[in-house]
Amino acid sequence: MSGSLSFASRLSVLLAAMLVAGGILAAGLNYLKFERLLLEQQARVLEILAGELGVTVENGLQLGVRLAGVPGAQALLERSRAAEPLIAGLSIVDSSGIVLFDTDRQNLNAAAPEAALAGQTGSGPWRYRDGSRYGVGVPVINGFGQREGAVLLSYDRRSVDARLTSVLLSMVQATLLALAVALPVGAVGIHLITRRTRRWFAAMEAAMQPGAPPEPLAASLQGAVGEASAILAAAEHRLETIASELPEEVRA
Amino acid sequence: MTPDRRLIGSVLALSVLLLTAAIGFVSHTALRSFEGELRPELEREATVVGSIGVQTLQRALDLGVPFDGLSGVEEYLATLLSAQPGLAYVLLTDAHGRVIARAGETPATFQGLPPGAVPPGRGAVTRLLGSSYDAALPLLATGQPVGWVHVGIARARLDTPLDDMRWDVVIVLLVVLLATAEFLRFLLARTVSTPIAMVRRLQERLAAGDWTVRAPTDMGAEAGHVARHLNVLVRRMNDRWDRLCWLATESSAAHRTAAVLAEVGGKLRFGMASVAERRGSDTASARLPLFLFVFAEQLSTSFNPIYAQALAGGGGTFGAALPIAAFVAAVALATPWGGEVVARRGPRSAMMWGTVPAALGHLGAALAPDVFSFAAARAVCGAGYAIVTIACQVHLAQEAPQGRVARSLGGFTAAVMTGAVCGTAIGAVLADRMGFRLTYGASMLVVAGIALLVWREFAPGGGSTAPRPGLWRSARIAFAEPRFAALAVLAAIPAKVLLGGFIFFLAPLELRELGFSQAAIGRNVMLYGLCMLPAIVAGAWLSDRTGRGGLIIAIAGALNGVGLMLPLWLASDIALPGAIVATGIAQGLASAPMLAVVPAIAGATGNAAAMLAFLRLAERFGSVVGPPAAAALLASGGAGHTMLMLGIFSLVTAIGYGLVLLLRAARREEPA
Repeated sequence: MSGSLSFASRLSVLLAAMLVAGGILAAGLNYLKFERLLLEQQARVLEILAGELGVTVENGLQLGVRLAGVPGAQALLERSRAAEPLIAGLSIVDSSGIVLFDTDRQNLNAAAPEAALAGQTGSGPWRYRDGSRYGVGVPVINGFGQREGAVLLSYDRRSVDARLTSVLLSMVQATLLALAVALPVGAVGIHLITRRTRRWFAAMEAAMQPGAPPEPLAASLQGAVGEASAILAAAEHRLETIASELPEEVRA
Repeated sequence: MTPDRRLIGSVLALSVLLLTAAIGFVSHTALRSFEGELRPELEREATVVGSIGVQTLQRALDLGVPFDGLSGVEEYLATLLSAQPGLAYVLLTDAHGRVIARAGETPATFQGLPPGAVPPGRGAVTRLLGSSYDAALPLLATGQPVGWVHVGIARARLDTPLDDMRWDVVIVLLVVLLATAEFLRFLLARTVSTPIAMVRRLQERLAAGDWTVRAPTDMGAEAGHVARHLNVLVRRMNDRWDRLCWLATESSAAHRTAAVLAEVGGKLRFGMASVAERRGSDTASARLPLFLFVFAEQLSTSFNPIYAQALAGGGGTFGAALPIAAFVAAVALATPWGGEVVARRGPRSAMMWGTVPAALGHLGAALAPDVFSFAAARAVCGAGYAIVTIACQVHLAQEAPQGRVARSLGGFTAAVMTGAVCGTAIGAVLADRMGFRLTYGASMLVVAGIALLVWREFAPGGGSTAPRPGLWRSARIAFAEPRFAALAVLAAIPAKVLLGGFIFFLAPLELRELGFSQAAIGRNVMLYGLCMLPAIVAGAWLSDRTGRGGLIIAIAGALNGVGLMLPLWLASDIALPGAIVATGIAQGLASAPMLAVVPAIAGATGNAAAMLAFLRLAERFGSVVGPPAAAALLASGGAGHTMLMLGIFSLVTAIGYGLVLLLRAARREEPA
């Protein structure tokens, strides 16, 4: 803070800074929490869909075929993707991570991304992130309880981002509105509250000027100055008198 | 009333009002908008689950099974419900809305869709039914709905996170308000109250005829203007005096003029002081760096063991305990050295030196690849913590006005407690949103800010170039003073043994044993801090008022002991919170007097900084010993037995401390 700023301005700046910090903290922390909640909820819904696909594939395995030979698996993936706009891609991989079926046929027989399979644990679903894409993995277990592979469902945040943008805008709007009201009210409030103290400082300053009129707020200071001035003036007068009397003494 | 006192209250009131209104408004809008955006997502989940159920039932209908002939529906719905946690109910109604089969808890107000309800082209019919979001999907036969599958998600799924967010908003508000109060206190002390007090002091000196005064010119704002005008005024008066002297020297009537000058000199003193008047005691602004430092340190309190466990690969308690042990050990070991640094370099330099390891430690913790490097980083943090806290304590002691030492030093504990409450609360929220590593990064930034603040705002000096005794010699000198030895052994160590052993270790475990929820355990343990804050103020006031800090310490120790014996007379679920309250009050009462008696004990030896450091070391020792001691007692005889033993320990040491004081007083009276 610059040394030239009055204390009232400094208080206003501090209050404004705390209002901005408080507003940003409240909005920012709420936004981050909401973002997590929304992503969690989206993942939850997609986990249900992936789980249902996994069950369908497992039912196919009951026919006694290997995972690569499950009838209608490719069509199932494509139908599911078409039915759910949130889904960016679906694939079925074998236990060594090789893609057996994929909505993007270019990926067939390629290895699934490492990140997609890194999180698999036990017989439950897992979630992963591969670059900008998020994903859900569901294990495919055969009738003997052995892991045959997995269904991988990838999705992006576009639909969540639209909601987040809308929330962010409403929060920015609310924060700006709150600040637009609070900042001027704070500045005016500080100005009014500090009136008395500012007057005291001003009175002190004025009281110290030569020939200042009486200042009730600085009466004590002016009293001290007046008393010292009177003593000095009297002494000055006496010394001048002595000086003016000298020639007569010399003459005598 | 001076202008500054009313001003502080009014500015605080205005800040509270505006911050509450602004944060409240932003949060209210945010929560309303969240509800609006989250609700469709919950309904979507219900729709997806419903569509799974509908597919199976629709397949049966498509195969020619009549709606009335569907069998095993209850079991199927129960399977569907159990497969998807978080659902309130799944049920099947006929086309008239009558419930055919159900699973889960249906709201009492549930009503099926009316006959003739039109099925949606895609998705489900969604509505809010009592405390549930309901999604209904049609079962069709020849294109007409013959039944509806309803899936309900309890509103609590939405309300619970929204309630969490409301609590977080309250915490943000509390932290911002407390931080604002600390910043305002600092700013008002710098620009208003301290300068006004200084001007009044100078005014009194001028009124007494002392025209040698000089106001400091490094103050900003109006105070700076007043100081400069005051210096001009004094200069003007001195010029008039110089003129008198000149007039006198010009005169050859030396005797008469000398008499005039002597008469003036008898009433007024002139000449310019070589050193400007000190600004005066400024304990309010001395609190700010301490508050911020403890705030930064405590940001990680709520997740330190969790982070450590994660870095250890989910290992057991060793991984979680190692960084905490490293931090406490480093604080204990660095405390005497910190005292030396403060004594040699002065509080300002020591604070700035201390922020270096603290900031590096936080950075190290943020980047730690494994639990051992994390523990090392926490140890570095601990060294910084030891130096900065001792420096702040000595700085507060130096700034404390005469007769208000205890109250000023009470400000030390109050700043620590406020920083701890704020840091712990907001740290948990930050970690929840940004992750552990970024929260450590935030701690580092706050510490860097403290270094900047201290560098800009605090006057250098306060150190001593005089040769100082070494660490061991300082310890010998300190503990050779019986009053200090008694204070450390019979008051400081027992207090921290109880804090570590009872509040941090036994109370949470025993509250859990009594069936309290985690939130309730947290609230009960928080009673300690809540009771301590007003008790600190009361203890400081009493100590300053009566001048019997030692007696207050002894009484507080006895009160703590009696409080811990409450299970002898009361049921555990009342005795335990009662003991926490008693410990908070007792330790709050003793905290300021304990610090305030040290300068008195040190007296003219100038060993106060070292004594304060050894007092802190004694407290650390108590903190380290407390939990294992309580654990051993708990293993040997249960919680009631442990509390009783700790209570007896506190009572005996308090009586011992009281006896030492009595003995000392009797010896002082003997020569008289």
